[in-house]
Parts: sequence; structure tokens; C-alpha cells
Amino acid sequence: MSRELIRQLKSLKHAEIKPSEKWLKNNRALLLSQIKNTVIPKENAKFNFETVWQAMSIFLPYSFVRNVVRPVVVVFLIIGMGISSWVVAASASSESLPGEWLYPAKRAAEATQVTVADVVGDTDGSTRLHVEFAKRRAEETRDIVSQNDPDKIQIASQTISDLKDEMQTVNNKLEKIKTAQGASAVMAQNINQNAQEIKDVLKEVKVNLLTNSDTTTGASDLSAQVSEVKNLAKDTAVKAVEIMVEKHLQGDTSVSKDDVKQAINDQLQSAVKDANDSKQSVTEVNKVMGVVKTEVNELAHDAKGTDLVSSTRALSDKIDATSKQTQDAVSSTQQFNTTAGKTASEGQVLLSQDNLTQAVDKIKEANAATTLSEKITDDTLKAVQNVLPVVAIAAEGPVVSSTVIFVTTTSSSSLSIILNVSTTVKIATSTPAMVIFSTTSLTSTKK
Amino acid sequence: MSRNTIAEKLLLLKLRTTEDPEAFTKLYDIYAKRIYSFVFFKVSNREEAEDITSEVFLKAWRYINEKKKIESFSGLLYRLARNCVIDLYRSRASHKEAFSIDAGIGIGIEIGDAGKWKENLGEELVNKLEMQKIVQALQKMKQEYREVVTLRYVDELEVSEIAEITGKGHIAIRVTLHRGLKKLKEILAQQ
Repeated sequence: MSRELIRQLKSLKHAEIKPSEKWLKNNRALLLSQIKNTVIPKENAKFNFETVWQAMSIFLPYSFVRNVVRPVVVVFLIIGMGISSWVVAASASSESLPGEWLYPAKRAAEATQVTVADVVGDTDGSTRLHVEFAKRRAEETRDIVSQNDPDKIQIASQTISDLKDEMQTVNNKLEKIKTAQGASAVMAQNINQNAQEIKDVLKEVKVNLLTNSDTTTGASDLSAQVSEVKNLAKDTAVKAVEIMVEKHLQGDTSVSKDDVKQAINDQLQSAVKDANDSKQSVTEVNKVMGVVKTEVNELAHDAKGTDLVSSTRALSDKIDATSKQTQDAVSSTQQFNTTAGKTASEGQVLLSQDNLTQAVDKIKEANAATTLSEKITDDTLKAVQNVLPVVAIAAEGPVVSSTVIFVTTTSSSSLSIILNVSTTVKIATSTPAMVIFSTTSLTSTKK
Repeated sequence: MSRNTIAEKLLLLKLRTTEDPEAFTKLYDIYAKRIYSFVFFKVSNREEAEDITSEVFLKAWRYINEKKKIESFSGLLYRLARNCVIDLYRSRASHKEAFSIDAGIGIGIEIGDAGKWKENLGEELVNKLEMQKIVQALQKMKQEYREVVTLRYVDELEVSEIAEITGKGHIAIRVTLHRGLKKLKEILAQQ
């Protein structure tokens, strides 16, 4: 009935009275002329969001566009702008170093990442982030130390402190991996690799601190801090390998046996290399001290009868004492080097017998020897650094104008510096031609 | 898509963004006849219908120029036409020209179809009995029902457009339509 009624109503439409075509045409022309008079010529149309909503309302109901699409688009734009500005700031800050204005943004981004990982319960992700950030702190420290910023020691010290915190967090995470049943050895492997890299970066930092002559104030404290964190990184790496072994023995196959063995072998070799480096450093320092000692003794001899006699004598005594210290250090480091080498060899034998647990114990033993050796090296280098500038000052006196101690270096390694001191001094003393034009100062130049 | 085809909406968008008079005259071509007949049914006078139709399009142009919101162009035209018709009735009432006011309503303004259906339907339609019956039934209905029913089924406007024209909500229009059709059926049954 309704349908029929509607059909009948619609048929009434055909009875519409239509306007005359003539009137329609005339009225159209009239309307056009009237509205044309009201049109103001416009300048270039500016972009207007209202046009966008109207264009959308061609396909969607206007009320829907106004009440739903528009708020949604606005919210998306706000979120989009927020995210993009954050991404821009975060990416721009990713290369920033401590002390720079974008650095807090970098740290804030890191903190957000860790918080998000913790909130969503991504333990592996959180651990990976802490390891990554620890590595960043180490690299930042290296970059700061190589700069010429007067506050670099202070900034680097803070960064090292942050690195220490990160390393401790990583250590805690390792503990959790060790106790957690479902935790895989892959994360331990990742931590091991990164801890090794951190250790290597910190080694560079120490070399930088030694070679940069302009960083004497507070440099030794920083160096001690770096050593501490470096040992922490070393311990973390060992702990990670230990966990890899444990997990492997528990039947975890996520890391292959060969990889575990490789990790142990790398650590053993690393310990031997570190011990050897220490020994070499001390040996070279000892050589330099030997040459310097001879030079200073000659200075003292030449100074007899002048007003500089007492100061050169005092210097000579100091050099003698330091020289003795370096000689002792040479024998100690030699001993530790032998121990580390022997332990590493034993470890490798155990490794070949698939005795992984004991091989890890050998890493610990070798590392203990290496750490002691490095401690002695650090102390020796510090002692030598304390006396070498004195040599430079004494050499500036008029009496010793004929003596040249010219130090140069062509590499960034402290070892090379010491080595070059030794060779250059030898050249300077054995070739008199150089004496004529050389200045009488002890300088260390880093290229 | 409803009667508001994409082409019409594009024209309206062009009109709003560029204020192009040509776009407006194209819209005039589409709607002029419809508005004319809508007005004519209410005023029953050719000259007045023509005047109101012209006025409606001029007002619509001003409305667009003032950047006022337009949900539907046809809705706007019908609303303007309805208001113009009301204005005309008011002026007639003030001149005591009561010929266009339904005596039964009594409150003054009637915007119905002025009882001119029969005359305007043309010879062939008048001959059709059922059409006559419908027209008579419509005439007997309350103005409120008649307006909504004719706008929906004779002018074939969408509910949203009728809501815009009458200033009522969608639900109110649907309810009125439902009741109007029911009432129309009752009247037809009585006949």
C-alpha cells in the first residue's frame, strides 16, 4: 500500500508546472549580469583548509566531514608534527656529544626507548638498548678526549660515569639472563661482542689521554676512571662468555658450540695481547728512561760549577728513581705476560678438549694477570709523565743550549711516542749536525 | 549518491573557491525549473513564482559569497524558496489578501499548496481519478504533514535536505513522513 502510495505521489511530479523557456533564458542572463557586478577580482587564492573539507564533502556527507574527518585529520596532523619534529631532533642529536646543546635530546630519546621497551616487557630489547647505549657512551668519551675543549676532562669524566652505570645495568641484565629459564644465549653473545668493543674503545681513550700533552690537569684521574670501567667491561665480557657456556651446557643451541669456543678463544687471545701490550709499553718507556737518564746525568755533569747545579742534581736523582721503577715494571710485566701467555695456552688446550667451563676459568686467570700488568704500566707511565716535563724545563736553561732533546711522533699511539722519544734522542745525540739548528726543548707533538 | 551528483558538488566547490559566475549559472540551469515549480505550487501565480525564483537565486549567490556553510545546495535553494514564500504570505496577510491562506488553519501563515492542485495538474492528469483522489487527500492533510510528504515524494528531496529546509531534525522529519503517509492512507481509505 505504502509503495503504491509513494508511486502515486511521485507521479504528481509529472504534473509540475514548468516555467517558460524564454523566462528561464532571460532570467539566466539577468542573474549573470547581476552577480557579475558583485564579483570582486581576487588576488591569487591562498590555500584554505575549508576548501579541503568542502572537496571531501563531495564524496562524504558534509556533517561527517565536519564532525568526524576534520577532528581526526587535525589530531593526526598534530601527532604527525609532534613525531616528525621529535624524529628530526632525535636524528640530529644522534651525532651530538656531551656538552653540546642537542645532547640532552639524545639522552631523552634513549631514555624513552628504554622506558618503552620496559613498559612493553621487551627484556631482550631493553638489554640490547643498554648495551648499545654503553657503547655510545664509550665512543662519546673517545670523541670528547680527542677534542680540544678545555672542559673535556670534566665532560669525559661525567660520560665515563654514565658508561659505568650502563655497564652495571648490563651486568644486572646478564644476571637475569643467567637465572631466567627461557633466556637465550644469543643476548649473552651480543653483550660479549659489545663489551669487547667497549673495552677496545676505552683502550683508545687511554692512549689519547696519554698522548694529549694539553690534558695533564685531571687526566690521570680520568685515566684511572677509564681503567676501572675498562676492567668492568672486561669482566662483563667474561661473564657473558660464562653464561654462553652455561646455556650451552644446559642444551641451549641458539649459539653454536663453535661460536662459544670462538668467543672463549677470542678472550684468551685478547688477554694475551693486552698483557703483551703492557709489557711492550713498559719496555719502551724503560728504554727512553735509560736515554733520558744518560742525558740528564750529562747535564748534571755540565752544570757543575754553575748556579744550576743543585736543580740538575735533583732532577738527576728523580730520573734515577723513576728509571728504577720502570726497570722493576719491566720485570713484573714480563712475568705477568708470561703468566697470561701460559694460562691462555692452557685455556686453548682445554678448549680443544671441549672443556669449556675450565677454559672460561683460564680466561679469568689470564685476565687477572693482564689487569695487574696494566695497573703497573699505568703507574709507570704516570711516574714517567711526572718527570719528563721537568726534563723539558731544565733543558731550556742557557747552560744546556748545546743539548737537544727533540721529541716527535708520527702516530697516535703512546707507545710510538715513547719509542720516538727514544730514537730521536739517540739521533740527536749521535748526529751533531742536528744540534746546530735545534731548539732546546722537550716537546711532544701529535700529528 | 543522491540527487546531489558529484558534478553538482564539483560545481559548488568551484563556485565557493573561485566565485565563478559561470559555475553559478550552471547550477541555475539544474535547479531553476525545480524551484519554480516548488514555488508555483505554493503561490499559484506565475509572475510571483518567477519573481521568487529570481530572488531565491540571487539570495543563494549572496549566501555563497558570504562563505556561509552549505551542507546541500538544493537544500539551501528550497529553504530560501520556502522563506520567500512565507514572506510573500506575510505581505499578503498584512494587505488582508486572504485568498491564499487556508481558512482552516487560522493562525495566519499557510505555506501549503493553496488548493491549486486540481487546476494545475493539466487535463490528462485530472482525468485520472486516482491522481485526483491523492490531491484531494493531500489537501485534507495538516500543512506540516503535507509539506514534508510533498517535498519527499513529489520533489524527491532527501530527508537531510528536507531537514535543512524546514529546520527540523532528521528523526523529526522521518516521524512526520511516517505519520503523514499513515494519515494520507486513512484519508484515502475514507474516500
